[in-house]
Amino acid sequence: MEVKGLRTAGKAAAPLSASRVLLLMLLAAVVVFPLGDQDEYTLRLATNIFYFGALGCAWNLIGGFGGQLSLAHAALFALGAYPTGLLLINFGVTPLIGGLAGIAAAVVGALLIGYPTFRLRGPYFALGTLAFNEITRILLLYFKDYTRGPLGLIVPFRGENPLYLQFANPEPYYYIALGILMLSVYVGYRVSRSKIGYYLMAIRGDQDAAESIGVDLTMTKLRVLAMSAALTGLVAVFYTVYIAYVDPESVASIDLSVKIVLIAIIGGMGTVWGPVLGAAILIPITELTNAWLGSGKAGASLVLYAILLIIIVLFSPRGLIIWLERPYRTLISHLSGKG
Amino acid sequence: MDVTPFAQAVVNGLLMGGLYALVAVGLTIIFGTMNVVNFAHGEFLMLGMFGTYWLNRYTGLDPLILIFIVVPIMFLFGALVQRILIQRVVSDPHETQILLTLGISVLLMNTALLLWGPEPRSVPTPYTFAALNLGTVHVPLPRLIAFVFAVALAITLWLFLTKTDLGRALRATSENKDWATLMGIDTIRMYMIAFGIGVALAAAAGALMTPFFNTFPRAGVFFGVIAFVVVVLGGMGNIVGALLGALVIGVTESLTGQFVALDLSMFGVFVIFILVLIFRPTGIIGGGRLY
Amino acid sequence: MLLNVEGLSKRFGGLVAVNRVSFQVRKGEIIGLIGPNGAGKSTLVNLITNYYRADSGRVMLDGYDLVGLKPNQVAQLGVVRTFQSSKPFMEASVLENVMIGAFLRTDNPKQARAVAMEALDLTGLLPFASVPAKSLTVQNRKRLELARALATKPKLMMLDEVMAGLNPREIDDALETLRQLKQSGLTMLVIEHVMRATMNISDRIIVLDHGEKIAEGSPSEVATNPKVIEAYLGQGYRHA
Repeated sequence: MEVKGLRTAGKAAAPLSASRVLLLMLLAAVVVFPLGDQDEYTLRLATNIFYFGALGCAWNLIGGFGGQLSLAHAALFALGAYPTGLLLINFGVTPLIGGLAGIAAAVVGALLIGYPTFRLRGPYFALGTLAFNEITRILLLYFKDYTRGPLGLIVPFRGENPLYLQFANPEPYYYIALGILMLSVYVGYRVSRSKIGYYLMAIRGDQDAAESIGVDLTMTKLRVLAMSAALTGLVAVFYTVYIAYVDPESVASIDLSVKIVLIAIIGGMGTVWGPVLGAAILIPITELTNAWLGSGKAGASLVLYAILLIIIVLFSPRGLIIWLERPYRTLISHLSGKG
Repeated sequence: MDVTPFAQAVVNGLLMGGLYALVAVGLTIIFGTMNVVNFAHGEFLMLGMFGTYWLNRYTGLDPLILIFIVVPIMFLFGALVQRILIQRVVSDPHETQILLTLGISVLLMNTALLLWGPEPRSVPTPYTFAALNLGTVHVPLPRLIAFVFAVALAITLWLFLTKTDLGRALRATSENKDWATLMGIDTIRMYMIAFGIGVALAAAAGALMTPFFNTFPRAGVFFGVIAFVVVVLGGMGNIVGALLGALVIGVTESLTGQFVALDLSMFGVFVIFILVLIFRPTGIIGGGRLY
Repeated sequence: MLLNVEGLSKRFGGLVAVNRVSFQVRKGEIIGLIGPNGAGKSTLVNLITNYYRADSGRVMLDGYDLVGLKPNQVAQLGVVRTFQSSKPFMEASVLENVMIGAFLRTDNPKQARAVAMEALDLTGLLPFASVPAKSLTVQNRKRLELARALATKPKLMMLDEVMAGLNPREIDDALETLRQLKQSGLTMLVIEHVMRATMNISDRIIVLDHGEKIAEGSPSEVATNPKVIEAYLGQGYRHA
């Protein structure tokens, strides 16, 4: 399938095709990276890139491939984080199990949001997801007896405990986040080449025509939304143990929804690797501007995001990744030529 | 039974509803004329607030006077934004438009944050705490004045749209762009004017609110969202619907806050929103464009 | 008998678009559906596929009532239509467009691809397989509609003005394709304005006017039917 953006494994049968080799090399580099005595700051930065990249990939399933601009992914994230955190703090349940509850909550929430709003076309869907996001945030604040309201949940560190995903060093978190990112990219890859990916392409193209040849619009969208929600929930579980602080303002606000959308769009929505590129660009920008201007000037990085978004929307709507397509292909043909 | 809490809530709701109406009418005009959903609408309101605040700081003039400076400036700003940015996406799919206006929203909000910081500021007026007392109902004077001004603006707008050539040209463009072009109307100019008016109305609402609402970069988010709810309720592109919808939403919010829980006042509004989206996306009053 | 339409009706507000239309389609037939503009032909197709919901009547396919189903379920059961103004999936390639149709009958991308290639071959679009659909000519877009519908392995295919906008040579090509399809066992309902094409290819013709069926029969019967002549040309020509 012609996936806009980087082509991966065009010749699926040959295990040593150039693109596969390149991928393996990239993977090896990323896996080996922490072993080279990196400082904590760099590892944390990389970890952030990984989990935001995963969030972007997750959103991309429904937003990019599905063409449904969801502004509710922060709500789904919160639905993943809160059950995990609450089960851990209140009942001592390990996030390895509690996380399943979180993921389930995210999926259920997504289906609740999706079922009524998928019938809506145009901006109504985006508006509907916006409303759901706000409702979730309001409810999380309101039921403060259960959720600790604006104070949020703090996951205390009581020493190293792998079964509880509590680690003293940043390396394990790096690898977990990397694993989640790889999973997200893989899911995107499989979706794009499978029946559901083709059906989504049809839905993006012309919903009436799609229906006339047998595409069940709502079911297709719900299926891919459920996948998107599950992945988002998974990242949220990681976030709960990694950042160890969950409150409505940081996990359920529209700001997070928008940030996720930005990562996917700027990188390249509807492509497998686009959101990863988006995270790789945007997260370091945040760090750099925070460092340069002091994190009191929190607005600065968002100003840059916004300018980038506007430029991308107007001049390069398919995202930045298409600029990598030509160099990538040149590289591949060089490698193939020699191999 | 003491109806005072009820009456008070209704009065509060109506007064706020008048302001919501200004913002919502602006949004619905933009949508009605050029089919663009302006996710940055709340931020223009915020800029109106800040414009008023700074002018007040430097000149000491009352917001009700400053509004006559802020509104024209914001009109021009809106027209400029339309011409430079929005115009490029008017014929693009709505997702593109949403992303662009979302980008503008984030840009405006965070530039304000960067320039002026997050601390809330207030505009002091001699009448900030004055109030009328209708029986047992307490009517704060600033809100009442703001409501009256909002009504006056709405009437002015109505006169403009119905009695002037320019207003009629605008309505023609929103009715049917192709016919309007055939009749010799410059649609791009109409779009600039419509967007400018929409932005100006939002900024006017912001200016009117400065005596009783704090001014800070995130102030627009809430009103932007309310504006959308109102516009959907009243029917996208339907001005009368926006006016009535605004009053309904204002009162709903107020009653929910009073009788259910203060923290849940917005919850009632959103529930109505979702219900309308599901069952009557063309708006309770109908006549809204569905896409 | 493949399709049995009984008393199908639809009104939009005050306007009756389709009024108690009944007819049957036998397996392997080509039915031509003609009538003046606004007669309700496209609406009828929309009703059969449930793009609009009929107000009353039944559409029995192999004994199963289609009314009330969703359009994708109708396609699943084997009734597929092409659109008057073709609706390709613009950003996708020709092959991908047709594969989407093929996926109705399989979950496997390789199989879908194979079926799609066959359909492209049948409609002469094989050279265009990797071309984006939006760059196709009008004639090829029509072919793409056809190929995509064929890939769903339908029992009944309804073609809505598939000849519109084609020049005489292209029309002959289209007719030839339809004949081949008929030979392979496909049942078709063809809505057309291009009279000679319809008369040429149809086994039977149904004539609609103002939402009602006014005539039915072989092409020659229908051509000489005074009601039909009147509908097209107006009352003054009845005895022409």
